[in-house]
Amino acid sequence: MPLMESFSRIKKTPSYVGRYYDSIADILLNFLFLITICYITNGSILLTILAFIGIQLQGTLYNYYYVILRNLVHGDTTSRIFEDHAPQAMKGETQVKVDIYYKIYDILYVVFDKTIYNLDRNAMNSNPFPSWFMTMLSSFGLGFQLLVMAVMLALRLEEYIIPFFIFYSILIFVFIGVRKAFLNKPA
Amino acid sequence: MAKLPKEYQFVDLSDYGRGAARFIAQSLRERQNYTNSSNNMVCYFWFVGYCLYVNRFLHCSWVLSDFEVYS
Repeated sequence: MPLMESFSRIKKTPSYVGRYYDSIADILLNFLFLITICYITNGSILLTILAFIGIQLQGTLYNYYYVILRNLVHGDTTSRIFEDHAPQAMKGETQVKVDIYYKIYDILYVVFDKTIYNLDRNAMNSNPFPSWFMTMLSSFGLGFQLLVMAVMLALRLEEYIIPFFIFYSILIFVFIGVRKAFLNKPA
Repeated sequence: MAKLPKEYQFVDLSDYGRGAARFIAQSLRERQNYTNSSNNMVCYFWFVGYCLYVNRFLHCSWVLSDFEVYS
């Protein structure tokens, strides 16, 4: 939710609780949207779950490469590449709260994070990703996914939303392939 | 603070809401007595969503009157 992020940036109060809360809210929101679309289109639960997994993997890949890019060029590092333990609380938040939010985040995202990491373990050994790559990859971001859903709903194409996201997920392998083939650091 | 140094910034198709978000956040910030944290604001969004769900078969204006009852 860009509004929340902008708000904490303007107030200069970054926090890990906020960082994890944002991700937890995103995954619940995605799930609720897809279940609703399944309900209004009398769709298959199985395909809906498949689309949900696809959407989450898309978002995770986008986030993975984006955080790596930020780390490669020393940009903002509130998000870490490997979320494998609770970070130390920032000023203005308690460690207990960070631990709890991290745990919930971990339960919801661990499968997707591990899957994407295993598909491309060496992504850190890249040159900084070029902007054309990041722009194309940003179609995997939640904002773009929600825009696609909104446009398809407005055009009365709701029964095609779930199949669309399942097929669009094939691009995950294309992006990973392009990253491995063209963007590796020369040995 | 931008997330990336200028030379690495890219057109982010999933971030079209950022400009409007920054504007709204700035406007809220300028209200002297505004003390809510961004996390509280997410809770308000959940609440509004819930109100819409409860009122899904009714006309939209009912949401507001319902909101008054709840609060």
